[in-house]
Order: sequence, then structure tokens, then C-alpha cells
Amino acid sequence: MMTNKGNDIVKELEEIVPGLNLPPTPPPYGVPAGYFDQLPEQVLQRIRSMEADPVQEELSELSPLLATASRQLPLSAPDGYFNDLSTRIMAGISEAQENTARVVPIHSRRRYRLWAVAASVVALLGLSTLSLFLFRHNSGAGSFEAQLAGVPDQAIVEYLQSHTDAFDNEAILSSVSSAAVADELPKISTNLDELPEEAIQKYLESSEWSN
Amino acid sequence: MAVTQDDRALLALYRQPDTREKGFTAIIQKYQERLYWHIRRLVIDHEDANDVLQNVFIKVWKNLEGFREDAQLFTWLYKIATNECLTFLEQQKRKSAVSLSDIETGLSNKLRADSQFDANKLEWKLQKAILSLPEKQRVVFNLRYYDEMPYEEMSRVLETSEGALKASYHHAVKKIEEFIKNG
Repeated sequence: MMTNKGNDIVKELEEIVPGLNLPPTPPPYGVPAGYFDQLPEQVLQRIRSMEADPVQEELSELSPLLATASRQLPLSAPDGYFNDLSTRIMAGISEAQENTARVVPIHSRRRYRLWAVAASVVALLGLSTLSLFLFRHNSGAGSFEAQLAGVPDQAIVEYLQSHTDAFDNEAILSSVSSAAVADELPKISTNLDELPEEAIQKYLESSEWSN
Repeated sequence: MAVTQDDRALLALYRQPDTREKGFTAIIQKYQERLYWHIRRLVIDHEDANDVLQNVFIKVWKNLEGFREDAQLFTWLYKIATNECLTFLEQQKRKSAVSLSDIETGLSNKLRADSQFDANKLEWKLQKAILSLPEKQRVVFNLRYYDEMPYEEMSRVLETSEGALKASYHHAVKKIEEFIKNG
């Protein structure tokens, strides 16, 4: 194809300038072996190097020291660890499913329910006692505040500077804003002593715990 | 960003009862190494990483039915893996009932126990410096530095604003540089 095209051009030239006698194409330039095979990869490599790596660029700005460090992790996994990992995980899943599917006899369910009722009664009594205790001994919170007041401000500032980050800032901001809202809401009593016994009994009777 | 074509095919396999396990095995094989290294960088020890990774995939198995394809599967997996790592580290803290700095020391000891450990090499100094960061900042640093994760994607994984993540990463880099220079 190329040769025919070249011959046509030579013919055309002879017609324009008779006796010019130009050598036939192709031209005498050589191309290194495999040049065209390698060309696409060479071009892509140059494109890749031209395209900025945002992580590396950011790191160069922040810390030239870290930017020069290798990002290769020095830790390694045991040889062949990944080869049968999926098989081991699937075996673990089957085992977990078998454990979940185990049948629980009805009488043990009933016993569990009895235990749950007993535990809830104990918890209710415990909560009442605890809230009464806390109500009468407000000095406990005071002693914590007194302890906190004993910590030097500088120590608190240093701790916060080394242990908080943007996540904590967001959490603090959100808790401050919700605390501000909470201050405006009416207070709800959580003291169980204030609940009449009849109401507690009625609740227990209407719920499944009475069964 | 919706789920990729490739993941959609794997999820379709998983959703067919007769190819469910085959589909899930393919999902594990596709993501196991990336998740393993994400976990390993946070818990350091291989055995711990192996336990956490298996728990992650068991959780994924239990919840994949409810996965909505309007999110990337990869992002969802990273979210589960990160939460599982933070829970694991929290449990470690409670188990040993020691201070946060002791936990950092514990992780540093695990690092030192590695057969390849060389305190004079920059890559190991870097690992020690990373361990000195607060946990969530460590997650952000690792996701950016090692996984080269864009902030937009990281924001979906950690459910935190891009601005907060950028600030967190910048603080982390500065602290690490300081640690290496003084170390």
C-alpha cells in the first residue's frame, strides 16, 4: 500500500519534472526495533508523570521530610495467608450460622423469662436506691468538681492540644449546641421514687414480664 | 457514587440462593488484601488483624442483603472494617484497664516484636510516629497516606466533613514530622 502510494508520487513528480529520477520511497530513515510496540506505554508514562498526584503534592507542601519517605509499609503477612483466606472465612460463617440456628427448648425459654423478670425487679429496686442515694449525697459530684479544679489549667490545655483533633472539635461543638437547646427544654424527672407503686405494678402487669 | 459494574455482578451472584456462597467468596477475594492492610495498620499484630478481618466479613455476610447499591461496596466495606478496628482497640483498652498511653505502648511493643523491626530505619520510625496519634487521626492518616483515599470518599467512610478530615490529616502530618525529628 505504502509502496504503491510512493510509486504514484514518483510518477507524478516525473510528469511534473521529467528526468528528475528520484529514488523510490520509503525514505532511508531507520526506526529502532520495537519502537512502535513501546510507543503507547512511553506516551502513557509521560501522561502519568504530568498528571499531579494529589496525595504526594499535598504531602510535599505539608512535610518535605515525609514526602521523601517510602510509602511502603514495613509489615508483612505470613506467606500464603491470602491463598485460602476466603475458604477459612466461609467456614467461619457456616459455623456462626450453625450456632445461631441451634434450637432452644421451650422450658429453658420460660426459665430465661423468669430470670429476666427477677433481674428487672432487682434493677428497679437498685435504681430507686441509687437515685435516692445520689439525691441525698450531691456532694459526690462536688468532690469530682473539686478534684477537677485541682488540675492546673496548663495541664488541661496541654492534654487537649495533644489528644484532640478535628473529630473532637466537631463533637464538642455539637454537644455545646445540644446542651444549649437542652437548657431551654423543661426538665423531666428521672427519680423512680416519685413514681407511685401502683403505676409500676400496672406497667408490669400489662407488659410481657408478668407472664 | 453508585456501585461499580463489577461489584454489581458479584452482588447479583450473591443474591441468587444457589450462587450465594460463590458470589460472597468472590467479594472476599476481591477486597481481602486491601481490607487486611487497612486493619493491620491499625491493630499492628497479624493475629489481631486476622481476627478482625474475619469478623468484618462475617458482619458483611449478615448485612449484605440490606446493602443499597447507591453506595460503593468498597466504601461500605471500609466503613465496617474501620468500626470493627476501633471497637477492637476499645475492647483492648477495657480488657487491660490501663491508660491510653499504655495501649500506645502495647502497639509499639507489637511493632518492635516484628522480625524486620529496625529502629534506625525511617519507615519504622514513621510507624512509631503514627502510633503516637489519637486513634481516629491515625485512621485518617492511614487512609490518606497509604490508601491515597480522596477526602470525598473518606468523608463517606468516616461520616465526617471533608474539612474536618483535611484538618485532621494536616495535624497528623505535622505531629509525625515533629515526632521523627525529635525521635
